[in-house]
Amino acid sequence: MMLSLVLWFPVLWAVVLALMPEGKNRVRNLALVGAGGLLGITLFLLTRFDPSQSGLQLEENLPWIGVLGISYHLGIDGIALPLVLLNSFLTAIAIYSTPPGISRPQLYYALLFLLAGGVAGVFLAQNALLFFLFYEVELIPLYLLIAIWGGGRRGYASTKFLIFTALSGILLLGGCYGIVGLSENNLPLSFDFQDLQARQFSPSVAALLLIIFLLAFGIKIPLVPLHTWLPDAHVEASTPISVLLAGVLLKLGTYGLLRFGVGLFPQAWQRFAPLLATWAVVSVLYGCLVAITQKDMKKMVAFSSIGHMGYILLGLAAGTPLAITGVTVQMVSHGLISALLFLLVGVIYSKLGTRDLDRLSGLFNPERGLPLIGSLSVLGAMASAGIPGMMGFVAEFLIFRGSFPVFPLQTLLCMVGTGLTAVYFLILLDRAFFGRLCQDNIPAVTWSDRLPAIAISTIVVFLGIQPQTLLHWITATTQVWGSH
Amino acid sequence: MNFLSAVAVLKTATIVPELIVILTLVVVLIVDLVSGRSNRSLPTLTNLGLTAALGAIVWQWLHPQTSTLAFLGTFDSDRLSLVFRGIIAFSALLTSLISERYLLQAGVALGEYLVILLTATVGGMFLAGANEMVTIFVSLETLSIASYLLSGYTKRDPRSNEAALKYLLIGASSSAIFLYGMSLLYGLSAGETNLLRIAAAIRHPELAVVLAMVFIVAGIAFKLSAVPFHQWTPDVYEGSPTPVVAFLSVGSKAAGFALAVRFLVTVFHTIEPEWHYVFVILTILSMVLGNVVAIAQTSMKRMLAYSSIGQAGFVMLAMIVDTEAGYASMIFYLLVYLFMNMGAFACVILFALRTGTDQISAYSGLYQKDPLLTLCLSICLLSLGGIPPLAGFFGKLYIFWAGWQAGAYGLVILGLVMSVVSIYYYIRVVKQMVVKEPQEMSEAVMRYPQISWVEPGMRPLQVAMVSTLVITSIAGIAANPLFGIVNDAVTGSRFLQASVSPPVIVQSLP
Repeated sequence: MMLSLVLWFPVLWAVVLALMPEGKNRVRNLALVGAGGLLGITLFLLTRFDPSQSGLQLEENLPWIGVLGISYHLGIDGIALPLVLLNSFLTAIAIYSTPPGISRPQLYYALLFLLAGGVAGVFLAQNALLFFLFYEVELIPLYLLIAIWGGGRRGYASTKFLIFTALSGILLLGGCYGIVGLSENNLPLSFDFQDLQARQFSPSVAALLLIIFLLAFGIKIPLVPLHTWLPDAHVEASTPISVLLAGVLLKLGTYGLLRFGVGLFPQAWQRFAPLLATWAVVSVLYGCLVAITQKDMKKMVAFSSIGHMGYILLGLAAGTPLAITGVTVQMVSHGLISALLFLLVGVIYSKLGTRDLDRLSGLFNPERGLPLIGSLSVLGAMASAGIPGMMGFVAEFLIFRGSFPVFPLQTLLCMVGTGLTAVYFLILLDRAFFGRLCQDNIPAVTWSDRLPAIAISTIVVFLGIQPQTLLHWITATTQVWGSH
Repeated sequence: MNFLSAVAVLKTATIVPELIVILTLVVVLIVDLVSGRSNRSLPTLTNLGLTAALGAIVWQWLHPQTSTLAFLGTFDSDRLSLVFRGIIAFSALLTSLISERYLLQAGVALGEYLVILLTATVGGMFLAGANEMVTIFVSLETLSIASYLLSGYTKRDPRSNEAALKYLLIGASSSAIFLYGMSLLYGLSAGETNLLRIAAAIRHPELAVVLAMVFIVAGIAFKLSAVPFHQWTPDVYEGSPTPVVAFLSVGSKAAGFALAVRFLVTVFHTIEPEWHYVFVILTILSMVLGNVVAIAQTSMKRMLAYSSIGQAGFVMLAMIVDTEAGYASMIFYLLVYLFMNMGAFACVILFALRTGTDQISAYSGLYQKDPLLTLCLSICLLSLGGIPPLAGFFGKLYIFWAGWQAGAYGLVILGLVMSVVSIYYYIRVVKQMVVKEPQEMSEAVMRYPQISWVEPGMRPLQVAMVSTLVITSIAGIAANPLFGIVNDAVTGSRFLQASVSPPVIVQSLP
């Protein structure tokens, strides 16, 4: 029941919001109440979750459409739990940081809640087709959120996003059908993950299916060279949508790769691992190098995402318990840090009307600049670059420590990536925050602008100092996943 | 032989649904004649009659007969034909609901229209169960001629005339081709017209049988508007009255599929690879051309015309895999297609009634003026595009799964890719309606009238719209009863059971 509640509460709330009459603040307040409710439900979920167990918990398994092998099978383990929590938290942040005067609030907030429900469904689904269903459900709300409330080239960006994601979807469906249709042993039709694990494949079929899944999720993560939709989508999306896009939606890709790739094709995964680690290096270095050349702050943060998602692939490729733990922490950490950075860029853009690094300078000016936003940006940049004491450090350290024994060279090259991260964020900070203030009469930053960023920063620092708080939920599960 | 024993021998009870439709037809005709033009009860009568026919179909479904062949083997009332007859009758019911206002606004008479529509329905329903070539041809022509009349019904509109003439000319020649194929079969089987007997008589495949098959497939493909026999579709769809297009794209097509399944599977069992081969080509061409050309359309009706060609491609894909799951998925898809396509047409009609245009660009910014219409059209189009959790998603999922199980990997992959293409052009319309800013609103939407449902004929349109919206939204999630029906339809049909290749592993949950 608990998991269904996490899944259906946002959907229900979306319907309520869509039916609300006009009256801007009423809709917004109701959305905030819903976000609080969702966060509350998710926090309550924590109390019901037993961190010492490694398997699925709070399972719900109802038959649904037998002829198709779909069952309504939900479950949660130590890897999904932090992501579900992240989803609820960032949904609340996104709703809070939406400007109160947004046009068409009913539709906007309803779509945000639908998105939250769909994403939660992906994390909780324990049936491959159910996973696919939720994976496709988030497509249209996100498309509309970019296409309606986006920037100048939103039509182009949203259509590009739609086509890429739809392609990723059919690859995923083709892969699912492939697992059942091409396996060597004849089992009763079911797409439940636990039944799919029992299927065996000839090595070539397994390799083919794994490639399909890598392409499907590679688009979503995104891995170079399948990433081209991401910078466009990020630049055109409004700040709250960017927060969700980078914060949780990219995680669908890595989470899917973990469930489908590592979970279903352990042998093929191991054979592919060196290649994947190399691919991770390419992605990391490409993301970092391209980020260095960017003039648009948002694009820079978007490319930093590509780099950071590369670490996750490295950890997955290594597959040691430590690396998988690192992967899970990195998913959460990247979710929080990129959300923080997008929020800060959003505040700067809304106050100065530009994100161009050539036109911004001196924002640290204590009198007329944005000193607190600047300090938080420094903190975000440090966290993203993996400076000790922040959450980013914990995640990256775990991944590198876990991967080094398996892929020493690739791990070292990825570490170069963290150095490069520091480089481009220093460029960003130097250009935007130091020097002479670029324009006068900057509108005052209100506490409602700062609050979401402060909330995320607090968590980033707290989990950087006290990672055990998070690891305690994760490790039992990752021990099992890592020993595949 | 007295009357009662004739009824018993012929098993007239099997065609009670058709008899009800015929009775309705006669009553409508008489009432129209007696009470004059101003009578407002004709659509209600039609709807009641069609509902009663649907009720009879349900009753027959719940009380299955041991032997389904009636009229000395000319009509088969098995569960497969019942489902198809149900789809055709339902599509006629929805068409009648969405027609009234349209016809009133176009200023043409209702009575004849309803009579012709019911005639087409009777033709389609008989076609779905016909098991003998003369019956097939007569019912096919009943359906076709009624369709020609319907497409030219708004006679003051030159485009409607053009559509009717084009449809008539191409339809007549395709009927001729179909008839030629049947005449070959008649000769080859030494004078048999019953499909089962023909199948028994032409056990040895020879060139003439293949030739007959090609002619017959050509005739059927015209009804299915499968590429390359589709050229009439866009023009006829664009010119004909929109409710007629709705009927042609659902009811007439379902009748075509019923005919295709029964005729091809029964008669050409011996040359199965050959007719499959022909249909694979038709399927590939339909899926690719229908979906790709739909992208370039600017008129909503033309777009839906091409999309219906593409959709027919998906259904044909399900048909040619020739497994139990394949036929079941085909019927399932037709069932959900009935609702989502009818829903889309209901919305297009409503929009055209309120604004007088069906250009896609005219839909810009519609959400501001008419949220219900926007929601309904969006849901129906997204369902046609296969977006979860709508009905069309599950339909596609089932078709592709059936195809995959049967090993038609190439076709399934093509179908998957084409469904992405279809998402693109369906979402283009949604984008026009939902995404556009108030200042980008089209002229037509700017002049959008106050929403009111009180004009005569608006309520039925509203009922059709909302019911298709609801069914399209939930039919996928609560699909189990539907899956049960289509499964029973396939297992309850003897000729399909004989055809379904025995060694197919039908997997199911323990």
